[in-house]
Amino acid sequence: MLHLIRLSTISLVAAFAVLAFTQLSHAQDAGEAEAFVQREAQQVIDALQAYNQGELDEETLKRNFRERVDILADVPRITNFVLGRYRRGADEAELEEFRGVFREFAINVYERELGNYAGQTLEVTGSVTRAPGDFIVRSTVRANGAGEDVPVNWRVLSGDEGMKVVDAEVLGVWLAQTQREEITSIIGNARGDISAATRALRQRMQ
Amino acid sequence: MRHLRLAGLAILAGLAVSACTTRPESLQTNDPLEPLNRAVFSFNSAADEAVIAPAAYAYRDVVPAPARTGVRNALRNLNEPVVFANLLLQGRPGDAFATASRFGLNTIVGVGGLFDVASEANIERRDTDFGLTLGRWGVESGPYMVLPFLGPSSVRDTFGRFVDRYPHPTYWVEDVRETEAIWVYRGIFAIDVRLQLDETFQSLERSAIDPYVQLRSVYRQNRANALGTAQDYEDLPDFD
Repeated sequence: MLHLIRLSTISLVAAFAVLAFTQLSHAQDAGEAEAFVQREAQQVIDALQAYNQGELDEETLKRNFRERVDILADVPRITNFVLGRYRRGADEAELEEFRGVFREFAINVYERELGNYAGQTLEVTGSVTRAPGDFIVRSTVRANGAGEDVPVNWRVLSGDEGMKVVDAEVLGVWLAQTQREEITSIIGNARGDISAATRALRQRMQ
Repeated sequence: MRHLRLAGLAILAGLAVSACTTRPESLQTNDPLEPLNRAVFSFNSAADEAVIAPAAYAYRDVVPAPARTGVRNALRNLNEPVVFANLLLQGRPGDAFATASRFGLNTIVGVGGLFDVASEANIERRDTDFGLTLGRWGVESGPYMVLPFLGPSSVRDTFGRFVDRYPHPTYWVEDVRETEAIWVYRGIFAIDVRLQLDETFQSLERSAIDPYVQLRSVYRQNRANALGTAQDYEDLPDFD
């Protein structure tokens, strides 16, 4: 009986230790995810501020932004996500073409927004751990007198190449989820033809 | 007149049925009326470009900002009884009391609602409607719908919109309800809403791959947020 009690006590302590370690590592990861978003967003803001003050020309700003995209976001993962079920069994050449055009479209959308920068800053306000390696980082884009503050949440996943953003929620709307609905609708209307989405993206960029 | 209305309804119902699609993508996204919805969406976009947006921009250019803020405050104040009734139906007496306080304060001290003195007194505005009340009672949204001039909706929200007319002060006063005054009110309301949504319209123009689907997605996500079903992040999709 005593043996059993001792065993169960050891198991209990071990369980607590594992739990405590897991929670500690989650807490550290969540902290890392927050720091990642703050650091990467700050880099973009620094570049925008330098551009506004005339220290950076438009071309350098755009090049800087393009270089940062892959550090901040997991573009291949997002691209696979927006294709939904149509990714499976798709022709590899078509997929490759879609990936290139989708990447260019996404960058174009954000490049066009760069010109609207008016001194906003980003402040990370907390985070939620959904699962190990899956975080929601909460932040507020401070308008600093240029309109109203906007809450922005970031879905950050950790993978082989460290932490990356896969989606962002602005005013309650998840951007990658919305893009997936659009892309899969276009492909669905074309009876599963991925090149229809590639054509639509090209058309929108013109 | 009644026969005409009935005939109109029958034609609309017939159109809706004939516009139903069996395409798996539409059914999966709970949009069986997609062909009809897309047609109404195109009509709304054309109406916006031709009439609504130019009227909204003219209003913005002619009426000074403080006056526009006053009009927006008054319109929101008129809607407070609707919010109050729905908050009660949702079992939120504290929020309902705050809304009643806002209505009283803004109507009396805020000169008929032109000034939002309640917000300055830290009584924040709540916003809800009968579509959300039904949602809280467990009623599903039903298929997506695009309403002429009014834009995105669902079967539940369309019914809610109809019910919300009754607690609205413009319905209480026969002289407003039964005369051209109601159309003046609706016109001002439409212009104000269009201006509020101007940034959204521009964003649609800039970032949409398929504007119809983007608006549908944005509408649904907004409603899920208002209903409080999207706050805990549990239902987010996998990325693998």
